[in-house]
Amino acid sequence: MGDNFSRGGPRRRRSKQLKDDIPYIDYKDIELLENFILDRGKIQPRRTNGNSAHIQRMLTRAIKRAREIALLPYTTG
Amino acid sequence: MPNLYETLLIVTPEADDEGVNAVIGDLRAALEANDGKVLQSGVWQRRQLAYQVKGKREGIYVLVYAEGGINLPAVVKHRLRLDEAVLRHLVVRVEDQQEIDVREQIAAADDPTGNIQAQRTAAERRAAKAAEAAAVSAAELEATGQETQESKEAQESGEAPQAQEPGEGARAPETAPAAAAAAGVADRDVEDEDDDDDRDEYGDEDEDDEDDEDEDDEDDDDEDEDDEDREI
Repeated sequence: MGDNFSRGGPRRRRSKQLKDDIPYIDYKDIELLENFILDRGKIQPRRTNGNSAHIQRMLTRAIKRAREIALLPYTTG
Repeated sequence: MPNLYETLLIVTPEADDEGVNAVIGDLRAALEANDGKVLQSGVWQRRQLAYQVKGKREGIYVLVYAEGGINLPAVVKHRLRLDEAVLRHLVVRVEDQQEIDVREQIAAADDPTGNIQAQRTAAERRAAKAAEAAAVSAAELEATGQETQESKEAQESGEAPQAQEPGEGARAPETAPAAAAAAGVADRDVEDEDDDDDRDEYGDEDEDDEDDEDEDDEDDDDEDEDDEDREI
């Protein structure tokens, strides 16, 4: 948790990275949100998708809202 | 300009158009009684739920945009929690750029609120049906001759504006042992009362949809125990 030294090999950056200038992320936009959750339904960490902190925060909020209203799973499998 | 709120709710898949209209109509009436205004309402889509809610795997998603003061979310939540046709709901304030976009979209939509009259009549019809059912169950209870002061009180606190039960004077005399014996009957009565549209606190389900947001995960380490480099 919160280590400042790197663990293991290089982090894989993803192509699905979002631009920094999008104004908001809608929790109803499931097609978008699905790109940022893992097979198990977990939120993908920022270090693998390369999103800015600002974007990742909006994304996290949207995913959690979508989970509440059964648009996305809390967990699968 | 008043705040803009977005409500997404899941209506039980068994509901038909009339059932959905009744839900919207009820909500609209509750909002208008509290200085709110429905800007747009309608079925968003019917889709599979990501997980089971109240035993249902599918639901009708209804999207409602409304504007009003800061009491509006509380009004909406209170109203929807009492509605048994609603599986889940989520109330969110729409702000900033998104608010501008949504208002534009509403302005551009023709017939954004759907048929208000149909919603109103559907809501009234459902309320009438519920009141009727409550009256019938009250009458049945009466027929058993077991009604006691206790169960009557339970009915009254349900504040149902239903028809006065027939033959109220013909009740069995209320003695203390009888009242105790009929405690079970009183419970049943309260549950029946839930069908009524004007019921009060009893209908609360424990499915609570907090819409206050969780803390943001700025540090994402808790989301990734087993998936360091996995592709989607």
